[in-house]
Amino acid sequence: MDIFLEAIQALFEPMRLGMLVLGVVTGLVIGVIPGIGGVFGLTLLVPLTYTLDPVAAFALLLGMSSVTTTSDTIPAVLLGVPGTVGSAATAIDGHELAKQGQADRAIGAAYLASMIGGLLGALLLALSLPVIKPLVLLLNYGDLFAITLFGLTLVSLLSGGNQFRGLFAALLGILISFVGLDPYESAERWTFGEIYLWDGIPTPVFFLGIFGLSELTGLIARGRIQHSAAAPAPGGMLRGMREALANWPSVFRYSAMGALLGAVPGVGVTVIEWIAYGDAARRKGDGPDFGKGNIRAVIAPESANNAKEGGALLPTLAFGVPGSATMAVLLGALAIHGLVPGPRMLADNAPLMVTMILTIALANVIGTGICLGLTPALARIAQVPATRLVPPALVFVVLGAYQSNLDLRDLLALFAFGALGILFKRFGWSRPALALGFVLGPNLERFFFLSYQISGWSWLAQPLVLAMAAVIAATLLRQLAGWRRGRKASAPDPAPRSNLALVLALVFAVAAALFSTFAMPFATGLFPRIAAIAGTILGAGLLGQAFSNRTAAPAQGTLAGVRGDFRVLGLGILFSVLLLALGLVAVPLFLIAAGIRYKVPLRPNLLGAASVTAAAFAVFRVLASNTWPEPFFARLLP
Amino acid sequence: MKFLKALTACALVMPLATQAAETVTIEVGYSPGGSYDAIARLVADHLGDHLDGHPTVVVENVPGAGSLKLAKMVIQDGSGARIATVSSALALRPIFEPDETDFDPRKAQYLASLSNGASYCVAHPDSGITSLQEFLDDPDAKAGASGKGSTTYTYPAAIKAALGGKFQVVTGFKGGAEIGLAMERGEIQVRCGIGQASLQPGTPGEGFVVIAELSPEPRHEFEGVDFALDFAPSENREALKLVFSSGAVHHPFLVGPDVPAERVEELRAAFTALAEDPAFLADDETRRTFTHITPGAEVEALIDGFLAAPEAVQAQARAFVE
Repeated sequence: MDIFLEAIQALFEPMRLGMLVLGVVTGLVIGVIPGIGGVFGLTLLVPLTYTLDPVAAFALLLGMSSVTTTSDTIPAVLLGVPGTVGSAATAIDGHELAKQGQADRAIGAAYLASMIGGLLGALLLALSLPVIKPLVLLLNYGDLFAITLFGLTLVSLLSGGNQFRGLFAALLGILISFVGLDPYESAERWTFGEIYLWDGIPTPVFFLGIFGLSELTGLIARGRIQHSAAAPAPGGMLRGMREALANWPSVFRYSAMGALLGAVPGVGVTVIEWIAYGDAARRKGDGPDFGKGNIRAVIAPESANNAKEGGALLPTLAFGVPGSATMAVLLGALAIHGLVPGPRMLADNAPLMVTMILTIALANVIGTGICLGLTPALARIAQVPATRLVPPALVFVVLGAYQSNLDLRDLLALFAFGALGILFKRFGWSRPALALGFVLGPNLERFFFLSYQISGWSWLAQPLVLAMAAVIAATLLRQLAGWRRGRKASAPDPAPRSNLALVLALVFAVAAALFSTFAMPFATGLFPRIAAIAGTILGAGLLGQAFSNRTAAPAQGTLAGVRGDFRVLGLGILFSVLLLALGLVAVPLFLIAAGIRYKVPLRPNLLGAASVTAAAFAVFRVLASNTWPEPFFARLLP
Repeated sequence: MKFLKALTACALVMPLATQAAETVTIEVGYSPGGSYDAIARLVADHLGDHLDGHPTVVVENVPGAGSLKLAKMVIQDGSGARIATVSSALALRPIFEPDETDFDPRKAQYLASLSNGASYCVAHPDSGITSLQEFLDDPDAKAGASGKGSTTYTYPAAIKAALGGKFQVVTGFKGGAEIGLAMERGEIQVRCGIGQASLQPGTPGEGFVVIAELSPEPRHEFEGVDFALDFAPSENREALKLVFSSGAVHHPFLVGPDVPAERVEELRAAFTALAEDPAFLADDETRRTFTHITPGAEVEALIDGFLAAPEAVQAQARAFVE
């Protein structure tokens, strides 16, 4: 208890509290901007802590990293653009609710779930300090394989109208995730000789394309985020918060899950939030189907992704083994302050560790408070004309995707996945299923090979593996029954002929992938081959289905919608070209031109362009330490 | 209103502004976190003091392909201003990947290497393994490794092949962090390719049992630890030595092939000066980075030496790590 009081006393010194608040504000800003996350923030802040005492330093650093997954909800809900990779799952139903005029409800629920998740993660960390070792060592690779496989079986629940398409989408996601060096042999798979692809498709770019771009492009056609022009009913935010409280069992469940899986290095926030999302879909509850604006689909991933931070700190402090990418940077910061993680740290620096836990808890409360205060103003964005929102959002999505590697190929990947996202969305294919496959595929393969190398097949008899196998079997049986019932009732195709073309292209790609696996070493090709065989068989069935449907009348406006989407995508490509040619000067030029094109009055146009330019310049030029390549145009000058 | 207009105008022309102060950039071939990043940031905090005009030195991360991406970029870039730090294992890449003709580490100009300590195999105290011989003879012992290009794989694989080890090498870990945790869980027992710096008292690695020293020449940095090459039959010795050799130029800092000689000399002198800089040494101590600076010319000579090994030795080394 003394330690606790000592820690509170230490943290509540004005300068240290000031650092905490500064960290939180920085974290919130970083969370809102797509494409950058906690690691970016930490590399920015660590040098500032050299002259601070450890308590103040970690108040700043942990304050920042604890709340990026709170504010990333804002663009996720309002624009469908995940602010960090941790909010891609939140974006699906959150943005759907915003379209229904309930942005404040979604945001309210998300914040409260985030806060409780963050607090529970910190609490778990506090409680487990004395028994830190057993908790971190709880799950081995066999267990993790079973959990990952369970996550994949949730896919058909996320499949929307057509289960087989959902399954195919998941297999496609898995195949995309296998691009790069395989984990067992380190042999190249589908890298086309490009070193860029060795580490696989970058996750933020994939999510920004599949979810972010495809939502933004649709926004222009709709006119504004919210379908109806009516002002949202007051009290939405409170309603969302009440719903988060009413759903306390799931908030607790997914917080615990987030903290526990967060403690396992190599699992990662994307996996955690998608398993939470999928598991919540599996359980009975109120509201529409997942994907159609269910508040539970917002609460589950948000509880999990904030709880993760406390969990990830566990192995970092206990063994000096970072639980996540942000924690790896934090570990470096510990060294700078002369602190050595490990059992000795608990003995030598117990008060500091308690202040760290308090910092995480307090940061979550402060972060949520600030966000809640801003919500009424933010929710009004849902009524702002889309023509004023989309160009700046495109600017940030492109800059966010580009800034981490400054690689042209990141932009190519962004637009390729943006196009795929548009087609999936318009033709009624499940993007969550694709995402789930993409996120879980690599872990499934890696955990399998690790388990097999470590213990042959004996891991199959582990208690948790057996329990998960039972849950997986039950889930599959229930889904099989659902498939039989739902076969006739699958949703009609919005655009049968174009869909046929899409299926044809995808099946061709999967079959080509299958063919190429025969040239790979056995272990390298094993998982891709299994996925590609399943995909080819399923694809053949889908092809037959699409072929027999080809004469059905298309739903009105689908193709016009696709064309409109691609026009907006073209706008994004135009901005990218300008950016490469002119550097950041492209930002105001593009925004002003877009404003003129969409008939935005001159004053708001200039003001908007100026503020976005200032923000972009501040983040990507002043704060970020990446040197941008010389703009193409500048190279032409003498 | 006028103020607003001025502010708007300012914001719009801001992107035209260029960075006024002179900066030098160090690029790291890995993500933030980890020893490459830590050492680069330590160097960045002090290198400017030894360069003309005391420029600010900033660190950027350019991760990808185990730092091969950055190494290739620097060599292609020619005269670019960037200083890069990449994996020392890349120095042996022409030996291990002879078909890959588009990468030659000798093309870069080396400024210094920041550590040259021996590498080690360590066992978890709960594993019961206390010596290299016990490790070699234990068919149930497992060593954890990440990719096959990493020294966490090449070292144990070469030991297994050259010394007739019965243990297994488990690949697929994402990095040292995961290997460390799997050791705590008892899923694997041994990790090879861990640097001397990570085993010092006051680091998370201090609890491990050091079972073998892996370096071309014995250092005896830890008392009573077996020197791996002593266990090698004479016909395998040279090839095994070659596999371990890159450790002598660990954490190399380099620039492109066409950077002018004067600039290279200035940078080399600045790195050499770091070795005597009390502020740098004090920070090195606090951050437990345990650097040891080898001058750039020496680094280049060492790498030339590795790659000039007889073809038969190279082929044998290649076979060891396959």
